[in-house]
Amino acid sequence: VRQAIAKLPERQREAVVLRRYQELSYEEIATTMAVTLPAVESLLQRAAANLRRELGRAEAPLLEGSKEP
Amino acid sequence: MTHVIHRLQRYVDGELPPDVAREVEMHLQTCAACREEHRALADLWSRVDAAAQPAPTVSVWPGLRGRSATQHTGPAWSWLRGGLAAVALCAGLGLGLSVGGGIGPASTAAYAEDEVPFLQTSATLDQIWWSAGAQDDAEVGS
Repeated sequence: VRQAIAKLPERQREAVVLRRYQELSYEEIATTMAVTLPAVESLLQRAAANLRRELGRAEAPLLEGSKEP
Repeated sequence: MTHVIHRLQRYVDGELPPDVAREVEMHLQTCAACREEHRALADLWSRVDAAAQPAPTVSVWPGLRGRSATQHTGPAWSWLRGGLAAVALCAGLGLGLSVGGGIGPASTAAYAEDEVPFLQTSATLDQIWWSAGAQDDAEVGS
């Protein structure tokens, strides 16, 4: 998960860290990053999509390896 | 109500106004697609939250305190131990004053638990993330 977060584009990673680690509200994130509230929402949505894709890619070989021959 | 997938991020984060959150909640009860998306999103962020937990702070003091609290013996000896300790303290102070000529500032210095650097080890994920991210930014475009 940490590797997937580290691979996010900088702005998305910044929003994720501020939200999930620093536990800031959307409004506080918007102020910190100097963006609008919808922009914060968009950054987190895109971060979620990227994280799911990255984590799915990382876990796919494990699932394939567990299949019966 | 139409699908609420575009609102799920704020819903999961508890950032929707109460009336809108209620609408989303009602929609989730009837829409399997949005429910599945909500489950996946909540699962993702809970995994991120789990990874975001800071490393536990390691301190020897709670263990020492706990150990000393459990090592009390019976009350019959407590007055004798207290008396002996007082006598030893007075003797020690007298000896120290006569030899050292007084109690200097260095001998009165006391550290709070969190001021003893070698007893505390902690690392923040923030530092890990940012240092790892700095390397990966070159590979991933925004």
